[in-house]
Amino acid sequence: MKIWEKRQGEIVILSVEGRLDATTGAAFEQQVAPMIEAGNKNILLDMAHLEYISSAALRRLLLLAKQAEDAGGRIALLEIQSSILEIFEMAGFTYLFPIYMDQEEALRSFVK
Amino acid sequence: MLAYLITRIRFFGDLLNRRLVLKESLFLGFVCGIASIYGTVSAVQIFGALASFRDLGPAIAGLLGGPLAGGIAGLMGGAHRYLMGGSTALPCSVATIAAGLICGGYHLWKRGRKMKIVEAALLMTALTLLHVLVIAPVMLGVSDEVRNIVRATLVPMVMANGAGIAVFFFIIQNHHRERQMEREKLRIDSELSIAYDIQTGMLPLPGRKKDPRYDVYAVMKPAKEVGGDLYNFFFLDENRLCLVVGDVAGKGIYASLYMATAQKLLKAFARTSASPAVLLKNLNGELCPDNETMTFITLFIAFVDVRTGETVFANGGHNPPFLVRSGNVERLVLEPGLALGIREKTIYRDQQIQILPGDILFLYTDGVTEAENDHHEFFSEKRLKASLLRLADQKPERVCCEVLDDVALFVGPNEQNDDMTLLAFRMNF
Repeated sequence: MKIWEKRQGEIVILSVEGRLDATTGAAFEQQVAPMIEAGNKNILLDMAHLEYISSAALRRLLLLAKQAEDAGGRIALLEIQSSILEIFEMAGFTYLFPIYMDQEEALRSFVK
Repeated sequence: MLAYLITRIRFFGDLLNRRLVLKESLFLGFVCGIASIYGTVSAVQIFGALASFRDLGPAIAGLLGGPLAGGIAGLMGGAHRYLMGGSTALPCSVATIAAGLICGGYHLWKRGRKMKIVEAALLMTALTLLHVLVIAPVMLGVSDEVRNIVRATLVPMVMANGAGIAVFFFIIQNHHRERQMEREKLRIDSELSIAYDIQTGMLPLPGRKKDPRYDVYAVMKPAKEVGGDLYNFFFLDENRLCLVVGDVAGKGIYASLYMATAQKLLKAFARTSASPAVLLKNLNGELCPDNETMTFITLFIAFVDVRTGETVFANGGHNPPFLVRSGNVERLVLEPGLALGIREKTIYRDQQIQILPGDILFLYTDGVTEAENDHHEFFSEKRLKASLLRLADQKPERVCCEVLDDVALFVGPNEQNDDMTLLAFRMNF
């Protein structure tokens, strides 16, 4: 599992590659939570290269989203692969996270 | 030398960081004393003096067991050396006893803090230097003979004793680490078995009571690292049967405890909830508060009227069940519903369906469809549908067991990585 970091103004774009399971999910949280604490509360998660996410990792994502919200920001999701989108739809997560298929549109949504 | 070291390990296991009881100190002192004597006996003669490992024994006894153990070992080794005679008898025996006592003192000073290999080696070197450079000349006077002895024995003694103690502590620490890892593994295994017990203790076994109107069967096959799958079926009143299947996010003890809570709450709210959606709402209301870890649970609940087959169901983020009817297998189309425990303000919707005689309602958790073989292929809905189609005329028990067999066949020698739960309900003709 790899994480690439980019910035666009105030927004952090994190591209996740590989699989997010219980172990890598924990590592993911350990890397991102301090970022949010340091003030980077607006995060665009690029999931174009994310193959798989387990329920344990989803839990971590929920925690990070809550942390961002409490800090006055949000986490949006970009380009989720269809297999993962299916899981999100089933679990009702599509109502919890703003999901975009276009990066420009996603970035603009933060400004509003 | 190595045999000497290894014998130690067998007897003393993990005494590295413990304080020794009197009996243990005496024993340690005695054994190290013997070793010390052995050190003398196996010594090398250089210029009439013996360059030996004698001091190592008492030093080890002292470092591990304190002054008492060190003193005893030192006395034994020292006395033996003294009795052997020779010009250096007195200084050598004194040095041996000193080694034991000084190391014992060091042990007390360390007060249970971890001994590092380098520390031990340095201490030993210092003691050897003390022995050769100080005690001998002090007791024998500074003469040519003494100087020769010192010059000849200094380097070999320092190196041998320093290396000796380093090796000893290295072996002991390795052993200690291995024991710790073993203990950790045992602890994890027992945690897993606790989780397993919690989980299976909460699941009802299909009853022996036979009702001619319907058949129901459920089974949960846990993964090695137990997750939080749950199922339940029980009567709400005379005519309505409640069917539930659920899946807690995550694995291990957390998941199984959460599952146990959910199961109890479910039972508690079920009979006073007008419909499955209301039940989900009530359950969610209890699970959301104080959910710091954001653990969530997906649930599918159905209330079936066993007189008519009229069924009301609601979904909380769970994978859709299959309905097997007249040679067709279709997913139930579910209204979206959020998994439980995440957000209190969320809506669950009731849906209706008629279960006809001969129909099978098949509930399951994603451990079934996500079962993986060693080509990284998933069992998937496609294969599950095929299995169900084949089993369309069978009784629920047969359906569940055969689907499990199909999955096992597919997965092969691969380990099961998630709990699998299956619940089949069939209206009879």
